[in-house]
Amino acid sequence: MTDIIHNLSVGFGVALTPSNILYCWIGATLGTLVGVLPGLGPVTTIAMLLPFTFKIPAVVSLIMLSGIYYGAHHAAATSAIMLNMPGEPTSVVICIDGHPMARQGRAGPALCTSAISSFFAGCVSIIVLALFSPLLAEAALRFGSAEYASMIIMALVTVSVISSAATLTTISMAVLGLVLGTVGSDLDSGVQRFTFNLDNIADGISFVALAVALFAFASIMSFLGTGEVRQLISAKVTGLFPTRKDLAASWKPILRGTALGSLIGIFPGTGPMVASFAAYSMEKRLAADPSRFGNGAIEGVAGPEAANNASAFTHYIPMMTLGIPAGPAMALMLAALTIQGIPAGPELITKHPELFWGVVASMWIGNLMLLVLNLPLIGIWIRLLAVPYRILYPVVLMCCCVGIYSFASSAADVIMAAVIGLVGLLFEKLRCPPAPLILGFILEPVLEENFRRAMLLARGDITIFLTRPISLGLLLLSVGLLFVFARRKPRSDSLAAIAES
Amino acid sequence: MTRFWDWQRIAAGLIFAAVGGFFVARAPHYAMGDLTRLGPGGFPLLLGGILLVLGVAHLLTARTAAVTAIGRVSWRVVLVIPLSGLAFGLAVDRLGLVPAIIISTAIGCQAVRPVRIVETAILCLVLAAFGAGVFVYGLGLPFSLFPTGW
Repeated sequence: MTDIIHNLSVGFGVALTPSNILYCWIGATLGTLVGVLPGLGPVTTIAMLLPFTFKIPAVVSLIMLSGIYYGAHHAAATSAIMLNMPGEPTSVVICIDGHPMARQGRAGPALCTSAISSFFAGCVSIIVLALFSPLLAEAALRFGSAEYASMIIMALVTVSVISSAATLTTISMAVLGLVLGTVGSDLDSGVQRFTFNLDNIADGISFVALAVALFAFASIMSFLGTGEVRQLISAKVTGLFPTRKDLAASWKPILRGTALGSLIGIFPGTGPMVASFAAYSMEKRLAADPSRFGNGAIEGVAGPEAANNASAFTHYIPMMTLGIPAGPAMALMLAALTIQGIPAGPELITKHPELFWGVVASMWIGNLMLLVLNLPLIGIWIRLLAVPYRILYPVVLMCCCVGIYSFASSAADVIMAAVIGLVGLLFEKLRCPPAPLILGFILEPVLEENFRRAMLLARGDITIFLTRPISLGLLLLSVGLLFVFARRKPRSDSLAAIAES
Repeated sequence: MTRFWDWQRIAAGLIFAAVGGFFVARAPHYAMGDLTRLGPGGFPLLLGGILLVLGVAHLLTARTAAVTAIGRVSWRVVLVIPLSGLAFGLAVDRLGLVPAIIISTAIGCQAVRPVRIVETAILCLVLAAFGAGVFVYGLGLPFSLFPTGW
């Protein structure tokens, strides 16, 4: 306990310096902005800013990028409630009950409840993050190579099965990411693999170029291609505060959502959407009258929004202590650390305590800032919903180009990203989601290193992965996940067919 | 029951199989090692093999009860956005940051119709000023702003 207090005081010492407060505020404000604006999400924004972060210290960059990340999670509910359009995918669920509330003239209470849920869930899950990370890191220190490799495989399976696309396809995308990750010099021997003497991939395909291509270029093309469907803001915000009845109905869902979201976030590979969907279906199942859901039930806003934000923070646990990201946003955070030469993993907390605890402390400060940004200033953000996308995307495009170019002073990387962006759009049209690919790509060096080391230690006996109990458990869990989801999930094309009929 | 070919699945499968096959074919150029001591070619061969199998599995399961529309593809967008990045990449070393931003933004704005000439011009100038101000003067990135010799 004294440890925690000591660590947190170190953390607040880092987070409360004026410049770090400023970066935290920039991050939280930018995050709120992109969270509110449809078509521009945290992943795009972090990808866009990632190349610039290696000019600033690691802790500052992570404080700012984290601010963008949780700020956007916090604010994405606003456009879901007001426009029936999720600011980012995690708030799809909020549309179901949040927007009907707005149409009934109850936009204020919906926005306020979502802000309170987010704030509460954030505060609690940051405590979970602070308490649980050192424990998991200690456990992970005892992991051998075989366990590590199996854990990465489980994370890749998890991120593949939770996607709405066909599991065979998402698994293939993860393997494609792994395959692309082998390009570049071999860690062990230094041999140039699959580089064909091309200078700009001698050290591997640039993660920055790949991330910007898939999450900025491709997503701009996809958003422009679908055509901008924007409903006018019909709902007026009158009276921000929920009634006593609203509060009575929502405090339990907030508690349940926080607990569920915190728990789900700890598992590597679960990605951002699982928690809010799980919380929504839980609330619907627990409700005395499930038919109210879909027609503006406040529990349908409070529970999922709490779960969404709780998991957003606990996603940091596997990323920081194991080096295994939960989804694309965490993969980008991991890259931000790697760019700085700081390997995430069990030793991060002990080797860089000021980084870990500084970021944790800044989350509290950021969370408090978000409460102010989201409640009294909500009117400003709602007005910003009117900014047309045709003004926004050229700004993003320009920042992306300058970012990739500045990262390695390589014009060839910009051209490569433009081409990969096209491939990304093609993949989207073929129902191949990019998240498993980016996770596979970033985890390939770690997986290969641990696989090869495990094989060396076992003298070439591949059954090592099955004879060590933890490794076997993780692999069995992966197979179980595959089996359950592959059978339960209808192929997405038939889903679409059902929706159309 | 009528069944259709799922062309998206077939195309995805062909891509996976082709990439996997390429890595399988190319991996033996590097030392393979043995199972105890895997060489640089070993792991890519394994991964490429898995990807090849997964790709073929797509082809074998491509009969489906219902086809999905691919969705509208705006060729204008598909052409213009990569072209904008391409133009930036080609221009930035030769002409400097300001012309590169102006050219790429002018191209990038064409993705949306109707073409708004005044708005595009304003965006080009504002973004060029913003880019020069923030990235070169603010962050101190070592870019030349204009063609050398100006």
